[in-house]
Amino acid sequence: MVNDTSRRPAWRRRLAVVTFVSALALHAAFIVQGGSDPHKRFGFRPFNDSDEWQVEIVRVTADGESLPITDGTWAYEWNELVGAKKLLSPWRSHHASGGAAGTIDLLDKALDWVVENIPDDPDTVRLDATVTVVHNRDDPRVTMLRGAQRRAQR
Amino acid sequence: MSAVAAAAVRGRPAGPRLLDLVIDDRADLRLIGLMRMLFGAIVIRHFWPTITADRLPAERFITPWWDWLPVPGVGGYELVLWTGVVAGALMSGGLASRLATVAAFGSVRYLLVIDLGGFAHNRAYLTWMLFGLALLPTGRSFALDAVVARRRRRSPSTIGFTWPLVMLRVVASTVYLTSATTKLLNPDWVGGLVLWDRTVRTQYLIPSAFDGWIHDVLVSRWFHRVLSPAALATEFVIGIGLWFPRTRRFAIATAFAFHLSIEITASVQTFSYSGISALIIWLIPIGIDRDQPAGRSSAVGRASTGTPSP
Repeated sequence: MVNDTSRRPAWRRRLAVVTFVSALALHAAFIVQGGSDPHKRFGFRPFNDSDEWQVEIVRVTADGESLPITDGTWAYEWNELVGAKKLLSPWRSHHASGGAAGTIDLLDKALDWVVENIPDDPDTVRLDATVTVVHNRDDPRVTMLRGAQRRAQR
Repeated sequence: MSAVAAAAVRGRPAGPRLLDLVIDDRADLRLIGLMRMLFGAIVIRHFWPTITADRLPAERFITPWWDWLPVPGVGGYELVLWTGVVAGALMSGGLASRLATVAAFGSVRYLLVIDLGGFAHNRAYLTWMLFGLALLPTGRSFALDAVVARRRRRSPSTIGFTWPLVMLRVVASTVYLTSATTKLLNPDWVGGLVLWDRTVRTQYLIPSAFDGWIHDVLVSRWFHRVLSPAALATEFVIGIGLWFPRTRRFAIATAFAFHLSIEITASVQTFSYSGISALIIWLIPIGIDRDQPAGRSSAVGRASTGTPSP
């Protein structure tokens, strides 16, 4: 090692220190936060669980009727609308590759997004979902998701 | 660690002394050019499924990590995507290396944070590696930049500051250690339940050539009781062994085999390529590897003749 002050301006050395320390602090923070983040972003916890999940999604119409999105009466296709790989054909049982918590959180956001992007279906005011998760071969656990109310209908 | 020992001998706090050693150290970073070249190809591989898909993520449901983050339209998404692809190609060739690496990093990072559903650990790992490469002088070897510079009779030194390399080492090793530690704290993982359940549920993927007793072993509960602790031990051996010169070669070989086995048995996008390519950072001798007290290593002589960067 040599003292580089003659070769590198002091401000560049300080910048290097700040960048180095900040980057590692950020990395450490992400790893710690990964324990509570449903998506484990930058938390580096791959393959930690074997979660299977499956969902029944219904569209709630203005008159309060709940209709499954797979009953053939909907003007839209879930897979066509959503398209995200983690949420394709969710009525079938799937492995939640990043863990069930992240998948449920993403599904919750998708329910809100879909209801705002179905202009040819003026009747639907909300999407609800019943999620069944099997965590590491435990007994199935059911979670109910209630989507946001369609803005135009509020 | 030798640097800590050296600092203790000098009677100064080891932490600040070690930071000085890391920040001021320089070494021959020739091999980093090779890593840049490989990661350029990995960037293209990373974007390949998006390029070849029927629809872009911007054409379907996409949600950013934070609500305040602007999500581009289809045109904007395409622009960022192709900027990343071109940057990856330039990285591989070593043309405008620094700029290309920064652009690739920006592109990968931005398209990652605007799509929560697209997050995967291998993408986070790729982001970190590109960030580190963007801080290193990667265009001085294995690069068209170096060829152009030589033709202009301005052959740049491959000596550079090594602190970004140390940063990458910390990130790379803690990825193995975090993965192993969190699994160790999960009884279902240590006991083999998680791996066994995945294998049983996806046993239709086991090649028919393994039908018979091999198949029976692979889906048996006892096999995973043994395999799971072994997998954890492997990650610990890699994450710790990489730091010590005496165990480094073994850890590198183990990591290579580890990533290869994952690539064969699981779908992990670019993680195997990134994990293997990133092993280059452990092949470059830097200050904290050397046993000699600071200022007396052989690499210093080489370093003092070069033009450091960044």
